[in-house]
Amino acid sequence: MSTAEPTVVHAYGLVPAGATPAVTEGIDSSDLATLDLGGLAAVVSELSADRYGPAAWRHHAEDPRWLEVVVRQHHAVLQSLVEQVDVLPLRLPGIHESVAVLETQFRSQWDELAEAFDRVRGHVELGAKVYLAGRDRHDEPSGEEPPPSTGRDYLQRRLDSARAREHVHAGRQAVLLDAHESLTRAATHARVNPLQDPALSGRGEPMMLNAAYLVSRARTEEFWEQARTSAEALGLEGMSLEVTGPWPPYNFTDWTWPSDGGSPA
Amino acid sequence: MSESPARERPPTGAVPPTGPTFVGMRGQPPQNLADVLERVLDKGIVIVGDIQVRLLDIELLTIKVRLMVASVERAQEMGINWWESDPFVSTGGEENRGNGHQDQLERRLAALEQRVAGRSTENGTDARPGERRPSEVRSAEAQTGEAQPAGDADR
Repeated sequence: MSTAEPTVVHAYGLVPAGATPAVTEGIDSSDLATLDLGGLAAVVSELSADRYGPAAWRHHAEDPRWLEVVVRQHHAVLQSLVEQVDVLPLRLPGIHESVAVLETQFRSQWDELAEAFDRVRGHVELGAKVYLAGRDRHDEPSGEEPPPSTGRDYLQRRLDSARAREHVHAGRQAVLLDAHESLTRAATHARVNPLQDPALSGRGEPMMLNAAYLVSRARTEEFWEQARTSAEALGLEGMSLEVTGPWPPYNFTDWTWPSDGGSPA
Repeated sequence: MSESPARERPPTGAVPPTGPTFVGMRGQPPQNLADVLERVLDKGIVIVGDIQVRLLDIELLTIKVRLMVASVERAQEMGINWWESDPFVSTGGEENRGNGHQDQLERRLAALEQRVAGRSTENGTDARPGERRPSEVRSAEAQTGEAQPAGDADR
């Protein structure tokens, strides 16, 4: 980028110093650089201050179309990184006035950064979502019974069906928890996130679980194997499992680790 | 959910269970926008930065983006937890993380929550971030780890 134009520095993530991942380009086709901070290096690129500076963010950050492009480009860099090296992803907006300022900022919270990096070192994130598929072995044919002849019949039937529903519900919860716990055992840490609304997930089925797992690179095969097993158990209860990843470990960058490993209460 | 498929089923009741629909995306970059937004805007490490401090408004804006894509109730639900349980509230630059300050922050967060709630119900009366001084709240992200698997989604 020409130096004539004012720029800001956008930081994507931290990688081990000395790593030379091949990543083609950053946001707005910018050139990526690694800034060695001693032990860790920040992957950064210079962006036009006009188009990506604070004013641009203020102006555009409510515009999903603008945001989507930036988010996807930021993520694309991190995704490409995590497929090659360990990476600690930084959250958006990640702009800084200059390389010198960025360096000062990173150094001022160096201990936390190093600690956070150590937690994700050698790990990737895998996402698991469980959806209610709609029908399962508990569904019974309902169109064949004759209409209830008495009020008592009617009430009895309603009671029965309520009981049956509760039974199914409890069964599903048990299988769901079991699946989550099994996946958690194959992982180093787990985090359960709020369920996504159908409007957000883009699927009609209700979401039952939205979780992220921090999985050691050495254990990803084991995790996928467990996911297959869990998918079968969930399928019998009318639920489907969707596993995504490997992701950069976005969900596992907090300073403070959840003491319970993120299992659902 | 279960009513309408029930009517479409053959009357024999011999429908096999829905097979395990295991969707792995191994080896390909995950592309679902909701997943990417959830991670990139909600997660990831926050660096104290002077530009970033001035950009606090954006923290609020990410909630608005959620409001656009998620249902109002869900986003409010998330938003509330989100603001309240942030363990990493700091003053940006000043290293002032004392308790008195935290009380002040909590009051301000409560006010922000109300604004968010107000916006979502008014839906469209978009008050620009005005005189707020964002220099003290840098990150008001949530620990969303306490969410539970759906309780009633299958009724």
